[in-house]
Amino acid sequence: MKWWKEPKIVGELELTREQVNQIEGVFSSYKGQISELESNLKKKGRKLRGRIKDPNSTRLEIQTLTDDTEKTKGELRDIKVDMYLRIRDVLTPRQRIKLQEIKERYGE
Amino acid sequence: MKCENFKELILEYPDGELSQGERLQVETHLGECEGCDLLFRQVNGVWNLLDRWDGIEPEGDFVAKFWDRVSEGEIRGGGGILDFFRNWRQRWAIAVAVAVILIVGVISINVFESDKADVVFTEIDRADEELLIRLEKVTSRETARSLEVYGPWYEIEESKGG
Repeated sequence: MKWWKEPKIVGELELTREQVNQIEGVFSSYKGQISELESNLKKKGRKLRGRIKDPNSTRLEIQTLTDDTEKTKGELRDIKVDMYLRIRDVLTPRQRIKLQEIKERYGE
Repeated sequence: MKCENFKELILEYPDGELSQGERLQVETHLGECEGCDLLFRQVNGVWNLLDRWDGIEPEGDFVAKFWDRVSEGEIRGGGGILDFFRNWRQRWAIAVAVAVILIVGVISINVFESDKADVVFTEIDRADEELLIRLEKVTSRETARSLEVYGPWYEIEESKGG
């Protein structure tokens, strides 16, 4: 869920229109990279699963494919962390604490 | 005698308040200066008019009646055309002041309200949410999950125990 667009959460956090736009802007700036890396990761994952299922695939082949898939996953993870930290920067310290409280409640 | 001196003494001449010497000087100068002679006759004429003035004595309650009429006129709001224009200007000033207050109020409400976020959720947002969910899944999922087949089988462990 895009929590920054959920009216209840926006109200509880007292997010301003500027903050909502900033967070949306951060996400939008990463959207293209995320989609591309996701697509690459899917392809590599399919290839890896295919080679694992093949009883004649070699250790080196599977290790190489695994490393390559992990590398792409790592790039995707780095983008995710960077994006989340930039979103975090938009919030005040009080809002960050409040968001965690809301998330915990939401999880319940 | 100079004309300046004459003009200083001329007002006191009719009242007889000048000394004999001063009177003589005034009368001598009148014979010598046409301008001052004309001035003397004009001043004398005014004094004569004032002497003939018959003052009108007002009635005893004239002052009280006067202020009563003034008060009545204020209560009625006046009837003159000047009053009409004065009131017209006052009404316009009040109307303009009320309009300015309303405009400032509306602008202030918009300014303060505009800071709050108006959230609009679209189909694009729905697609974005799905992308974010997939992002979480792929980054947390074990890469070579297919190799788990060579690891522990939880269902088999349960059947052994049962």
